[in-house]
Amino acid sequence: MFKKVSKIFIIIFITNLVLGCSNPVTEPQDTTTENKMYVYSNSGRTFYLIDYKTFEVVKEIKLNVPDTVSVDGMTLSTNRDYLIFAAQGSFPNPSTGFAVYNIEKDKLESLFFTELNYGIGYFIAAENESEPGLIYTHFRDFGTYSIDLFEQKVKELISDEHGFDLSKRIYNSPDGKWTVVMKNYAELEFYLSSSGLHNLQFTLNKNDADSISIYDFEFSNNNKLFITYQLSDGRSRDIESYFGSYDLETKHLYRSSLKFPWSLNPYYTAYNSTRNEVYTIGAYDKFYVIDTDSYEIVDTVTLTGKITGPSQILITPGEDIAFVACPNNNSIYVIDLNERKLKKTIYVNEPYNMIIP
Amino acid sequence: MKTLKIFLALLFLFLLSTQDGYSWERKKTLKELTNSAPLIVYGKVLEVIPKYEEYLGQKDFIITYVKFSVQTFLKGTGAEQILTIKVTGGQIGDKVIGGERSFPFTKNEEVLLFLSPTENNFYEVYSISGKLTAVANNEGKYLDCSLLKEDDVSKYEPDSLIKSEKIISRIEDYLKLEGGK
Repeated sequence: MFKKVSKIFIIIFITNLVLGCSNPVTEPQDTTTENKMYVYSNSGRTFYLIDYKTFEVVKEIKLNVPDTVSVDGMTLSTNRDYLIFAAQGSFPNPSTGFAVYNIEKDKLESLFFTELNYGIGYFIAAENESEPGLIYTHFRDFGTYSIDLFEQKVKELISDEHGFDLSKRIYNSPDGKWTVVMKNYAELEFYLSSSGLHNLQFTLNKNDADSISIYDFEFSNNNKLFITYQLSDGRSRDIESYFGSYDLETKHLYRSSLKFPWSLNPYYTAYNSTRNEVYTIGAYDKFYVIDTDSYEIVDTVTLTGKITGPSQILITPGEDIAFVACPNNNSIYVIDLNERKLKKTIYVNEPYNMIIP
Repeated sequence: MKTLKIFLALLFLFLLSTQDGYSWERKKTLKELTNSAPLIVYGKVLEVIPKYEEYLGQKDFIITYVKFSVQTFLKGTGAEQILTIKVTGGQIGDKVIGGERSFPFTKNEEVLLFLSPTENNFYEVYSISGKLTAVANNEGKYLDCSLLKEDDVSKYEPDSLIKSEKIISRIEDYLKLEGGK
């Protein structure tokens, strides 16, 4: 009898060991860190705190929201003190809400719902210093709104322009000057940040004048906008993807000679102002280092084990480490930008959004 | 009465004789789907939420809301990586309501979907052929194409599992002919 029980125990132990090894998750080490990096799968109640210097998973955090509430998306507040998650109530008319997590207090500070029953839209902090709780959010079938998370109310219907054929994503420039609305991954509308999305200054690629579909873009510190793109008429499809830049003075597009393998997933980018480099990676396992003066690929780092899929990039405040998230194999690749090599792989469940406050 | 029976029998035989079987809605080929569906996405089912709702005058009908995480937009773009798909029919406890468009979805299922927009930010599966479920084995990832109508280049019998790269590459080719994303 004892022998039989022992055998079963050993089989269970080995099975657990094997299964554990096939999908490893780095175990939490401590409860907090000064070097905070938050990682989220873009959906669900669980996210992770990682130390961006030691690359250890500090802890797994669960948002304490009722079962009837679902949570998606994560962004950082204007003053970089809160993580904001979109929340929605029950179908068929899911109320639009937000879960606000206080970074310093390490707890969910509020969960509230607006009078809108639009579910979840794309959302981002407005970066308006006089109204630090303000966010912009766009709903496919309703338009673009501003909502104050601290006052817990809808402030304004900014624009009722909407439609299935009109996707809108909103971005902020690092210098706080611009709010950029990317329409259909083509046009880039530039608004003065202080105008609350009311004072349009200019539009790049207006009416697809440059015939490009933009994957991603980065502001430089010398008035350029670096972009990765494909051709909007589909000619580059299944062939190649490109890198270039807009001059924000002349509004002219410079098409560099750099070409990358075609990728259905975007070539996400990050900009290193210290080194004058842009980093980009598409669906595959190649992380490209681009010199923004010469427009040349100066290095390529192979992310061993990365499987096809979307990969966001985040660089540390010291600009010496790049993190590449690969949700499809539960990995974050840590790249040493000095040595240009893979330093470590962190394992967490489906990493997608990464934020260093 | 006899005439009605004969009519129904003939109708049944006629429907059986078509490639679409006894489906009221016509199946579509991969090319037809690619050219006409507004949105083609590959991704993973996050949540399946069936709810009782009134539908076409019927109380206590079941509508299922499927939260879907997009990994790749093959056609069309969206501001959202997470979509909600509305499916007519579903199951709550022992009660099951089914129909041609009552696609079963399960949590963590990976699928290639052909979608169209419907009201209030929701999507619906574009056609009765619009859901291709991914099946993984040691040789790679396959898509179950049993809902697709066959055409000159695509045969799904006797084995309806086709390498996902092959299906995606065909979609890419059709889109290239169409021009643009």
